[in-house]
Order: sequence, then structure tokens, then C-alpha cells
Amino acid sequence: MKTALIIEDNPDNMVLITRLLEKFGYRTLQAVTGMEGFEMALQRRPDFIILDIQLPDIEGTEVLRKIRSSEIGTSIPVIAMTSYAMSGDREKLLSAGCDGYIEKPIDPEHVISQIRRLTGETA
Amino acid sequence: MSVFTAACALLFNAFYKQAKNTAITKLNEEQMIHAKQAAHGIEDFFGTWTGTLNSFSKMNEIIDTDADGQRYMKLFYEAHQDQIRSITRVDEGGTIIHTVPYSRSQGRNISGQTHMQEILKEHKPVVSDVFKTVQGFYAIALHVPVFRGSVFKGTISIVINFENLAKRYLDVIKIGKTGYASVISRDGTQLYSPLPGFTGKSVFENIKGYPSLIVMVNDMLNGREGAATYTFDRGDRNVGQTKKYAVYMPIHIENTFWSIAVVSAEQDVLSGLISFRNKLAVVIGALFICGMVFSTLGAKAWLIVKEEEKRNQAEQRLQESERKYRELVQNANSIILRWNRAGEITFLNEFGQKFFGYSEKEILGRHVVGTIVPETESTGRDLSPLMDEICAHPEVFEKNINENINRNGERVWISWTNKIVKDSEGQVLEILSIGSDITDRKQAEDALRQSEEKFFKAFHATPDAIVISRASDGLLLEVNDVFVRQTGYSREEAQARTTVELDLWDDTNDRERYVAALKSEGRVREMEARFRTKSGNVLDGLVSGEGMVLGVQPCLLTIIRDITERKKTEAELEKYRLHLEDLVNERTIELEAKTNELEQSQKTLQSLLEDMNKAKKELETANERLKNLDQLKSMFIASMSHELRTPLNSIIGFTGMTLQGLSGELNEEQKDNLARAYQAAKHLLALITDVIDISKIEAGRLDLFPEELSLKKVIDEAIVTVQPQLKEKRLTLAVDVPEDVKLNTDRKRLLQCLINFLSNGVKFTEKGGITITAREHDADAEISVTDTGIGIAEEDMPKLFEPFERLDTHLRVKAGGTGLGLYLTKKLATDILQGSISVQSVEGHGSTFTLRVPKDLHQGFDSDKI
Repeated sequence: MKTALIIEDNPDNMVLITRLLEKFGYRTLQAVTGMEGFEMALQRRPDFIILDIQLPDIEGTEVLRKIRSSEIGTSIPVIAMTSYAMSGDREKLLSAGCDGYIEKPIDPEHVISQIRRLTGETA
Repeated sequence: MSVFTAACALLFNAFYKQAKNTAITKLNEEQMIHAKQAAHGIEDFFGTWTGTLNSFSKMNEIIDTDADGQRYMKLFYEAHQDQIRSITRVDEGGTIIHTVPYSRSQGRNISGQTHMQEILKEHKPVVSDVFKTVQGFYAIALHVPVFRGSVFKGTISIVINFENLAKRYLDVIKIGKTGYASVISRDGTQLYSPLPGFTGKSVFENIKGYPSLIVMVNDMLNGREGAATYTFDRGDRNVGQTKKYAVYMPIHIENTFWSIAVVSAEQDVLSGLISFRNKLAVVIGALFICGMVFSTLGAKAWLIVKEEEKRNQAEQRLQESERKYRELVQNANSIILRWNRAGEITFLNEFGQKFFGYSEKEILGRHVVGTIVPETESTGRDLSPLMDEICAHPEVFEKNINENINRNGERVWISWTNKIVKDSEGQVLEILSIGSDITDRKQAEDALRQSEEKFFKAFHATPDAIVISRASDGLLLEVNDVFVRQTGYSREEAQARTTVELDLWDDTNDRERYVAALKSEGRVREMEARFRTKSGNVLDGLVSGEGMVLGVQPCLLTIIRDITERKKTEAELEKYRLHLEDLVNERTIELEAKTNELEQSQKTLQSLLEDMNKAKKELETANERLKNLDQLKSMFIASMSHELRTPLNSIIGFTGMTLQGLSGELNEEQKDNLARAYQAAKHLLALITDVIDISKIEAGRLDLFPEELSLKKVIDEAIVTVQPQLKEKRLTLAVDVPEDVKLNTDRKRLLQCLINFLSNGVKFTEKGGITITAREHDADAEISVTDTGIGIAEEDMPKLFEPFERLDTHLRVKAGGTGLGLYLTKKLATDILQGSISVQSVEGHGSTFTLRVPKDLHQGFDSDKI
């Protein structure tokens, strides 16, 4: 059973993503700030991370940078999540080192297919 | 000649100087315009921010800095975070109440800072000095007072990234190759300089060692405006000292002023003058070349005379050596040698023994070659065969001259007289040779020959005509090639005739003068005379002459130099010089007239400018309130829309998940209910999204992301989004788009426009289909979407691109959409993609919507308007 770390400050969205992932058989870990999420990623080593880009303490891109320059490196795929994509967000995030990209409002099928692609499971 | 050259040099200098001064004046005018633009730009920049903060400071929430006020500050910061680094509220005692983004400075008292003391006392907007933040960038704080009624309640302030400001107003200043701007604050801090390591330091430290700069800097620190010249040495050996031209003026900002200087190096000014200077140099160069030619010719004539002198000396030497020779013969001290037909020496007299340095014993019986005759002469002649030849046929060699050698290896020339000694039977017994040393004579002859060769060469190679005539009767003995060429007489025609017979003198008085001078002085140097050629042309000449002895007869050497061209050139130069003076006078008058005109038009322009400024100020005050209100509105819409979207995302997310049966099976009614809620929420989200885009465009805050893209790919991507509806309505789709069109534009915004066109087409078409065509037009690309739908009535056309002008009431078509689609598309097309949008339609037959955009969205587009 694969484990997902969800870093998201909005409680509704946290519940939504958690429920969706659990329906599809993933175990979940939750963090509501960037620092908490980064530390949890270091300690618990999830199989993949869903990272909200707008966080209260540090920006999502900063969390991503911290993860990539830590000992985790690129071993854990990170899927960035943003509210209505600003022009250029997608390119900015992918070039910053994100492996996947989800826009809110989330489309369950899109989310699951991205996860399966990145974790190497066939849909 | 030299006077004339000096005059021309002076003229050159005067011209060059005048042109240079004009160029410097022009440069300073240009620099002043740059400085003014930058100064006004920076003044406007701060004016705008002060206005914005002023409006903000009047809000009760900000005065109280309650939860709402703090939220507004966050919104304000988010809306402007590309321009400002933070927004801070300070109370009347100087303590920071709240700051966004959060920092540990909250709660700290900053009343000790100079600009804080000023605003706490004066209650008027202040700008701080430029300071270096902990993050390492240069920044400026702008504080605006907050009042409740008339009671001072502290300040609201922002921190502005100074580098952004510099990039916008100062980096752009480039004049020539080296021109740039420099800004200092009132206390002498270097706020901006493109020179590395200068920014942030004291200007006095930066100009240490350049006293010529101190006067200018003092003027700047006193808020004066002006121009200056100074030399600046960056310490770079290759560059050395550079002369710079600078203008400076104050920038007035709130409580203080800065001073901007715009500076260019002298070489920028000079580079423009090079071609002018070169033209002048050509004239001067021509004069110098004339001088050079004259002196070369003079030197050559002198050489010829010198050669003649040498020849005379050589001849004297020859006569001398002949005398010596006669003495030798008379004294009978000759070499007497006998040798047999085998070439062996049988006798050598004492004089010969002494002469060659051998004793009788040593020499007798030895072959001549190898002893007194060298194998090879210094001329290169082999003597061995010659000796054999003499032995074989002594009768043929009664006399011969060859080189001999003595024991010490010294070579001598000897003239031999050979006699055959026969025995009683008449057989040749041996050869008797009597020799005399003619080395001196031989050397003298060689010297004479060489001297004559030299004379002959000079005679023909000189560019002057030379005539050698007999002194007794004046018959011409020899003329050179130049004479033949210049006079037109062949050598045969000239020889054995006199100059009078040839009618060579144009004026016979000239000839008399020449002959008289020769008789009295013995020689003539450069006498001017005119000569007539065979064809009757008259040439100007300089004639020189001197007596000489050729062989035995006294002769006269006459050299005639043709100066016809020089005379002509001198006359032309004189003419040209007079003309040049006229030209200078003419130009000076023209220039004065132009200057007057310019002054007049400048005055007119100035008064116009003053009127304009007055009008502009009035307009600005009127606009300012309007602009502030409008900006604040747009800012709030953008931020509030974000807040609206968050809960909507939850609604859509949860209903979507439930609707897909992920939370258990639903019955048909539940499914229908949820689907309606889901669709309504999506519609609301689309509406909000459009509103955000529009408000961002209106506030000038929509960021631009140009990238290289294939038009075909973007169109294909747009088609994918309408594919389901096309299928559902069974509409056809025709695509006529070239594969190779490349654009550099904002992909997302272009796609948004195309999707809007396509979904509109599909929405209003029930039968037939959609056609997409794309074409290139010079620098533009044009994309058209044609449908076979209901079309648009003529009276509805003007309302088409207005917000919330849905035409469905007339058309009775139930269509989705926000009512903002075409309005937003037009805004994107014109304001963001820098293009245009148009429509053609026949009611009942269909419509064609066309988007035309530049292929390359230029980088200079200013996307961060305030």
C-alpha cells in the first residue's frame, strides 16, 4: 500500500484529497504548513507528495526546493497543486522540479491518473 | 609654402573646433532630456505611490489596524508584491503595529530612524535613504501619515525595491557607447551607478582622487542643475584618462531630493566627427604632398651635379696614374720573364723576383699557374686555359693583360708583351714576356667606367630634361629621354643642332640671361624660363646649368625641370583658398540665421511646454483621485475573487467526487440534483475567473508570459476542448492551418481566445459545421473561426463585445456562458496580445470571428503598469 503526504492548509481541500486517495487505496499523511510538510517528508519518506503551492508560512516552491536539496533529492515524486492556474504557473512549477501538476477544482480522474503515472502503477 | 600650410592647418583647426563644440552642445541637450525624463519618471513614481497610500490610509480599518485592516494590508501586499517588498503600519509613537509579510520587527520601535523622526514631527510623507536589506537588495521606504480626523495616528509605509526603480528609469539611459546615468541622494550616498561597487557608498569616496568632479558633486548636492566637464581615470591602463561630459539636475521627492547626472565620454562625441576631420585632412595632405615632390626633385638634381663632380675627380686621378705609369716605364723597372711551352718558368729577373716575392731557386722550373698566375681572375676568367693557349700559339698573343698574384696572395694587373724565342732551326724554344704593373691604371679605369655608368643612369633616370651641348658652338651632343618626351624632338632631330635652331627658348631674352649668368658665375641654379615644344606648346621650366669636360672638349650640362603643372596647381590652390574663404563666410551667415530660428522656435516650444505642464498638472490632480479609486477597486476585486474561488473549489470537488460514485451508489434523482449543483458551481467559477481576468487587465496587472510556440499546436489544443460538443451536435470541422507558423506570444492567453471563438461557434450552430483558417500577414498571424450558425443581426453588432450583452433573448437559443466571453476575448486580444479582433456575420447564415496578433510579442511591452 503506497503512502501519500498531503501538504495543504485549506481544511476542506485536505479532506477532499484525503478521501479521494483513500478511496483508491492509498495511505495518507497530512501536514498543514510548509515546514511541517518538509519535516514529515524527511522522517516518514512517503511514496509521493501532493503539495499546495499557496501555504501560510513558506511558499510551496520553497518547500519543493528544500525537498530537492535535502537527502530525499528526486527520489520522491512531487505533484504541485494550485488554485486556478495563473498563466505560466504550470511551466514555472515544472521547471522548478515538480513531477506533476493539478489545478483546483480538482478532477478526481485526473488526480488519480497522474499519481498512477508517477508511482509507476498502471491505471 | 610653409605659411600657406600653416594657414590651412589653422583653418582645419578652426573648423574642427567649431564642429566639436556643436557636437558637445547637442550631446548635453540630449543628456539633459534623458535626465529630465528619468527625473520626472521617478517623481511621478513616488507621486503615484504616495497617492495610493494616501487613499489607503483613509480607510477606517487601516486607521484601526483591526483584523479587517490587517487583511486589507495583506491584499494590498499581494496585489503589489512585484513592486513592493512589504507594507507596514507604524503608530504615532514609532512602534510597528503590523507588517506584511510578517517579520520579527513587528512590535519594534523605529522612531530613532531619521526619516521616522521627520514624519513623526512634520506629519508629511517622507522617503527614507536607500538602504541595503538583510536579503541583500537596495530598497527605499515610503511613509505616508495616517490621521483620524485631524489627529495624527502614525504612518502606513511600503518598502520599494530600488533596483526595480533603477532598472525602469536609469538602466535605460544609454547615450553613444559609454553614456549612462548616476544618481546620488541629498546626503551624498551613491544611489545608482552602473560602475561596479559604487552603489551604496559615499559619492565622495567614489570620486576620491578626481578633484575635477568635486565642483560638480557640490552643485548636485545643492540641488542645482547644470553641465560639467571632467577627466576620469578608472585606473585601467588600456583606457587611461577619459574626458567626460555631464549634465545634472535634481529629482524632487516628498521631503527630500536626489540628483541625477547623465554622463558620456568624449570619444562618443569625437567618433561622430571623424569623417568631417578626414575630409579636412585630405586638403592638408594634398598640400604636404606638393611640398614633398618639390624637395625630392631638388635632391635628385643635386645628386646629378654631385656625380659630375665625381667624374671630374676620377678623370684627374686617371691622368695622374698615367703619368706615374710613364715614369715606371722610363725607369725600365719591368718584370722580365721567360717560360717554355710546357708553361714552366725558365727565367725571372730580380725586379720580377722582388715583385712576386720568390727567389730564383724557388721559382725556376715551376708552372706559371699556381705561382705568379692565379687559377681564376677576380673578374671570373679562368687563366689556366689562357696560359695553355699562349703556350700553343704564342704568336697570337703579342700583348695580353691579365691578373697576376704574388706570394702573399696580393693580386695585381699586369700588361704583358710576349716575344717568341726561337732556336737555330726556327722552332719555338720559349716565350719572353715583359710585364708592367698596371693595377693603378686598371683601378682608375674601373672607377671612371663606374662613374660614367652612374652618370648615364642618372642622366636617363632623372625626371628632368637634360641636355649636354658643346661649349664652343652650342651643338647638342646628348639629350635624355625626358627631353625627348617633353619637347617632342627625337634624339636624332636634336643632336648636332643648337637650342636656337630648335627654337626651344620661348623668349630669346631668357637664353641671353642664361648664357650671361653662366659666363659670369660659371653655373646657373633654377632660373625660371619658358620653353617651346616641337608642337608649339609653351612649358614653364626651371633651368640649371654648369660647365663640364666630356672626353677632352668643354661642354655645358643643362637641366630643365618642367614646372607647368606646379604653376597650374599653385594657381588652382590660390583660387581654392579664396573660394574656401567665401564658403566659410557664407556658412557662418547661414549658421547664424539657423541659430536665430532655433532660438525662436525654442522659445515658442518652451511657452507651449509651460502651458502644457499647467494643463497636465490640473489633469493629474483630477486623474489622481479617479485612478486611486479605480486601482483600489480592481485590486479588491482580484483579491476577493481569489477568496470566492476557494470555497467554490471545495463545492465542485466534493460534488464531483460524490457524483462519480466514489462515495457510494446514488439514485437517479440524487444524481440529477448533484449534477445541477455541480454545473451551477462550475458556471459560477467560470464567471469569477472571467471577472478576475477582466479586472486584472483593467488594472494593468495581468502578467505576460511570451514563449515560442507552433500556431498549429495551439489550435489543435483548442479544438480538443470543443470536440465533445462537436460530436454531440454532429457538426463538421474543417481545419486549414499551415504547419510551420511559429509565434512568440502568450500561449495561455492565445489559447483562451481561440477556445472562446470555438465554443461560441459550436454554441450557436445547430447544423453544418465550423471552419478554422490561419494565415500569415507580414509580421502578423490571422486566425478565423467561421460557423454556419444563427449569425448576428446588424443592430446587435455594436453590443457584441460589451460585457453581459447576451443576445440570446432575441435568438431564443438556450446557451450557457458567462456573458463575458467576447468582452474578455477582445480585452485579451488588444490589451495583452497587442492584436485586434473583428467579426463578419449574416443573420441566419453564420459568423466569422477573426483574431489578428503580432507573431512576435515584443519584449519591451510594459506589463507592470502601476
